[in-house]
Amino acid sequence: VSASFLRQLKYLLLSVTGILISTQSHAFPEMVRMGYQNCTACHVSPSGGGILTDYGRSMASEILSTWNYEGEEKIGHGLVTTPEWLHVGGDSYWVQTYVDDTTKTQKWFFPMQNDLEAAVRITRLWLVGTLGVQGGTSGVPSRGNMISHRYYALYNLSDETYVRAGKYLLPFGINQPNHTVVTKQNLAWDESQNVETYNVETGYIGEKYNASLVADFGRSTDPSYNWQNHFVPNDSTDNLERGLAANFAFNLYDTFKLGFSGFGGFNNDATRYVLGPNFILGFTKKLIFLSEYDYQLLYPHTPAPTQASEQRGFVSYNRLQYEFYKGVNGYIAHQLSYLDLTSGNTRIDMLGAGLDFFPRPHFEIQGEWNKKRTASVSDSYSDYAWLLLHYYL
Amino acid sequence: MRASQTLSAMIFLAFLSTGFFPFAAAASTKDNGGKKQVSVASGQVDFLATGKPSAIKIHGHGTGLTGTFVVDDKTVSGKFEFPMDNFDTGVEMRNHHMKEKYLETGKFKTAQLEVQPVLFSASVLNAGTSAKDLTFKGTMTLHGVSHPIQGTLQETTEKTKITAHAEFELTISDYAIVIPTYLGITVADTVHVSVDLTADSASATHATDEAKK
Repeated sequence: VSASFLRQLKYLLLSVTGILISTQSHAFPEMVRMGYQNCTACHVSPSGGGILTDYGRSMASEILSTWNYEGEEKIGHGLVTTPEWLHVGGDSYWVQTYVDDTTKTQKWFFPMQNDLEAAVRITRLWLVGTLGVQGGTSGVPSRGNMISHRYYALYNLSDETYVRAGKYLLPFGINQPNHTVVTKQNLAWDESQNVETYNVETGYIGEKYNASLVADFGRSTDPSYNWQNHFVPNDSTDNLERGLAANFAFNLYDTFKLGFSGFGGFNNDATRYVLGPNFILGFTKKLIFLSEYDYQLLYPHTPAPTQASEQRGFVSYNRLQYEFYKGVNGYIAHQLSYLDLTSGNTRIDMLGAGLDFFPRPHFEIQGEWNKKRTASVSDSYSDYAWLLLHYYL
Repeated sequence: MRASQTLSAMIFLAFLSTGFFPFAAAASTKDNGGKKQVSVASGQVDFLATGKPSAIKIHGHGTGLTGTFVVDDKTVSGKFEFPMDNFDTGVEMRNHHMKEKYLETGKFKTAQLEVQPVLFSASVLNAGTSAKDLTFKGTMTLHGVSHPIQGTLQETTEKTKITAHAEFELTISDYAIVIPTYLGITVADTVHVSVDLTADSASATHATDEAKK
């Protein structure tokens, strides 16, 4: 087997691994177009995604879905009623992937995620957790294992301020359900890589602006991990990243959101800083533009950091989306990842189009097709597509 | 019931306030000192309500504002009316709740606004005039309840086209409207209303006794 083939195979696998064992929390930043500038209108989580509030379920029916009947959006399509203090949800994702590049054509159909989620409210305190089965193709070692992707305690100090602690995906930039976008996957904040970390967070969610400050303590996937050394740089028994993230967003008018995020962190290999702006612009109730630009400055620890060894680069994601008919959303997206500006081989660019269809409450069908060019593999574009079938409880 | 319903109610109020704008029209008609009345050619009302917690922005919009304003030299007064069923918040269920449960548009079909005389620096019927950040006072009747309001307005007269924009805030509870709540979201009591209208000064006529009142 030639080295060239192995390198190409590596990138082929990297390009699909993201959706092989991924999880999703399914936030909908595009709801900003309808005046929902803050995630907490529809989600318990301040950063969006995950279990819905009653109001969120109602909006999923009234705003997102093409057809519905009264009460259909409720748990079990209205057949189940829970007490006010208990919210129950869950997601089942099945994916068909298609990759056609210079080496081969690959197709997979597999369960991506099957999770149940519950949230218990005790006055101003929320306790939230998921429990499910690890998804992935038949070749994924952990497939079929029981797993809790996230669990946290959230205390609302007031209607606008909160503190949260637990295991969940680090809030940074735009939280969107497609975890394979370069602003997530290429910055190693892709849920597919099981990177939900232990975090402590505080934040403000107001009418004009939001802000959050998050201490990221990392998370080890190694059972033998020595937590006593957790806070000693370069002396950990596992190569987990720890850091601090800050997010700020300004709500402009009633359908625009302008944000800026920053992160500084380190693991055994490197120290890095990531920062950049993001925009969610609801031009009309049907047309919306999402954009995120993140600049990364990375200092490898080995050999000793020098100016020559530092890596400067960026990732960007832009999507223009239009709701053609209630529940039927089409979009085009462009992504660029160039994490070492001195090395053209680190450049990846992707141009694609997709359709996201919400026929009824609880159901979603999304398909996306991309032309992707990975400079380290080839100068030509390859095809990269997926079809997502999503049911939420 | 939805927060959107609440928003809708707020919108209705906003429409009512549209009538506030006493932008008289008639750029081509020289003001000779007599009272003139001008009808609104087109008008729209928008409202912005906030649902809490989460600061949900509920935007309502409606067209169909009608009314007449009376120009007496440099002062303008007027009466305006808006059909509450014309409000749209972009969410069908929210519209339904807003109109049926909170605004009760079947019973209270329109909102009316009577604007007290506002003093301009020149007659609004004269071409080339404009006014900025003028304060106006009026009485709004919404949901069968009349209540004083106060806001700001801007006006320009270009040739014969009179354009006016007014903004004011309403307090929902002043009008015996139940504060809208829906699944944990409660609409704030204060709603911001903006009104835009145009009129043609060439259509100005001598004010009738009714209008003069």
